[in-house]
Amino acid sequence: VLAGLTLVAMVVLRWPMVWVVPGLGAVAVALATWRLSRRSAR
Amino acid sequence: MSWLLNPAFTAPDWLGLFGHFLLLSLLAIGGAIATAPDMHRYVVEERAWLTDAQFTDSIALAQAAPGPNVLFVAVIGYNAAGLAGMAVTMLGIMLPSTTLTLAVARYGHRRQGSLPVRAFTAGMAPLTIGLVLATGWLLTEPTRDSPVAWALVAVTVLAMTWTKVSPMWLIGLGALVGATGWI
Repeated sequence: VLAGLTLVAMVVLRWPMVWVVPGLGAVAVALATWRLSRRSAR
Repeated sequence: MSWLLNPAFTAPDWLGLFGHFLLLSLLAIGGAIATAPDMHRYVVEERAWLTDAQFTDSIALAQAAPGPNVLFVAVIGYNAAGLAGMAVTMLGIMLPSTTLTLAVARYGHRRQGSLPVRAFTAGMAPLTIGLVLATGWLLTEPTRDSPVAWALVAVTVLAMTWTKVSPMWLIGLGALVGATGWI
């Protein structure tokens, strides 16, 4: 989903990378942190 | 345009070119090639320093030539503003990422198993895939109406995914198809 959103943001919406990478990157890292911490808690 | 520098470039143009590549260097997750869509947006769409075809040719030429992939930045810089453009873009794309890598590599290596480092690498992977796909789509721009070009794309993807054929053969095939005027 994140790869698809990145593709749409860059190709269709033509957003600058300076919005896309920090914006989606923050969401991606937050999701990965949540998944990894949930996995290690189990 | 002179081969040494583009006389039409003003001081703000030089600063803009350097500043943009400096910024892209910090955002280049997945390598410099992943920043190609933003370079295209800046040098082709916003500033009109290059045409679509010149931009794609710059990347194709650098990718087909031996050496690091990042050299496509030098070709784009040269085509936009001559040798001085090449120096400015290469300095911009190399300086922050090299400095950051030297500073952060040891930290990341020591904490490889820690949650923040693992979350960062896992989170950035899908973004890298999206950026590389966006680069691929952008590179099809000048030949998007050609069925032969799409057939060549399909053959390349299939060959690289399912066989161990050297990319050199595919580059040769592309050159042959281009030279015969089929694309």
